[in-house]
Formats: sequence, C-alpha cells, structure tokens
Amino acid sequence: MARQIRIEVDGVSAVAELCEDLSPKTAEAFWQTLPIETTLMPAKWSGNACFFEPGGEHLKQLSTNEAPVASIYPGYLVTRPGGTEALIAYGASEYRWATGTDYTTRVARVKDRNSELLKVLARTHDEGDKKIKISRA
Amino acid sequence: MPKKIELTLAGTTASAVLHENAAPKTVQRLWDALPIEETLRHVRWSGSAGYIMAAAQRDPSFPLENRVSFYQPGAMHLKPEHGEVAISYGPAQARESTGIGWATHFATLEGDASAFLDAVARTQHEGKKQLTIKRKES
Repeated sequence: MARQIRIEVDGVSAVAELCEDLSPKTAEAFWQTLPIETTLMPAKWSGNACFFEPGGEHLKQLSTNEAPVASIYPGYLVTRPGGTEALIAYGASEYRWATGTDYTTRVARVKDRNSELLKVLARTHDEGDKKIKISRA
Repeated sequence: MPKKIELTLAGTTASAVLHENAAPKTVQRLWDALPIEETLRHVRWSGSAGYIMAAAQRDPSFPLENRVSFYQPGAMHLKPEHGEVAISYGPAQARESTGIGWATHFATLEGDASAFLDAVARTQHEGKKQLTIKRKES
C-alpha cells in the first residue's frame, strides 16, 4: 500500500497517495520534505492549478523528471526537477511557462476525485493566495 | 483626436488610446457598450494579464482585427469568441487549454500606467477586483 499524505487548505483536507510506483525517487524526496507549510498561489500559465515552493534539500537533489507528463489531471500533485515548484490541479491543466509546455513528475494523487479540497483550490482564481499544509497521513 | 477610454481598478486609474484605424469594428462595438463594469480576474493560461468577461463583446462570428498572439505590457486585447478582454502587465499570450490562439489588439494604455498595472498584477495573489471602463472625454 502506498504511503499517504494529508493536504490541507482553508480548513479543508484530503488524503493523497504517493505515486511510488511511477516516481519512486521523487515520492521519497517529497516524503522526506514533509511537513510543508507555505503559500499556495494560483497558476498563471498552467490552467486550473495552484502552485507552491516545497522547499527543503531533498527535492533539490533530483535533477530529472521521473515518468514525465505535461498534462496534470485534477487531484494530482506534481513537481519540477530540483523541487523548484510543485503544482496541484483542480481542473484541466498542463504544465506551461512563457516559453511553452514542459514536463513534470507525478508525486501524489488525491484519493477522492470529488474531494472538497479541489473546490477550495478552484477558489484561488477568485480569492488569490491561500496557506497550504502537507503532512504525513 | 483618437477615442480614449478611462479604466479604474482598486483605486487606480489609467487612460488608453483606442486603435480605431487598426481595429475599427472592435473599437466601435466596445465604444457603444461603455460604460462597462465587470470583475477582473487573473488569467490562468495566458501569463501576466488580467481579464474580464464582457457579455456585450461576446460574438463567435465577430472578426478578429489587428490580430496578435503575444500581448505587450499595457496592451488591451479582445477574444470575441469568449467576450474576453485582457489587459497585460508583463509577458502574456492569447492561450487557452487547447493551445495558442489569437486576439484583437484594440487599445494601448498611455502615460504612466504603472500603478494601474500593479493592481492588475495583484489579482493573481489578492484575487478578483472590480474594473470600470468608461469613455474618456477630451
């Protein structure tokens, strides 16, 4: 059974499973980075997603993606090489920057695809930044 | 004298020149719809810009004029198929979930619009704000 994490935003939380099968090194580095408590911001190039800077030293050690994907499905948490940023999608999303589309690594997926958490993430479009807490479940 | 509009957002004001020669149909349609009061939100796909959905400007059959893909800071663009009016404050492009698109560049802010553009930029982190666009009397 995959290890689980708890993601909390605005008092609403959801449990997500680490994608240890798809991206074992990144999942382990993310696990070692927990707990994370930082600012969650709405994406401006990648569509229906929010992003945050996970910080810590473990993700910095990873210089490449694992099982790279550009599309980010709702409820998936992904990171960029070096841990420069992490995104969580609440709707249609693709990792993009000013120069175009790029790849990410899947780290975790929210177990309940109808989770209230995704609705809270969607509210960042109207309400702006929020605080996010991620811990081991 | 070119037609001008005045934009007000979060206590800041800016003036923009309408490009009547380059985008005559779009400018006339917008001019006829003024004043406009709508909620400005930060774009999700297009980069450094804010947008409103102006119902009166929505017409999928309306032609693009002065067509561009990349948005220059301080420029105003319309995507008629959605009625989306975007105001860019930095690097931006007419994008959506399906890829890169086109828009009509119909106006450009004039003078020192930095306080207004800062307010547009802040919608990413602070959330939506109310935008007013009205005719600027000369």
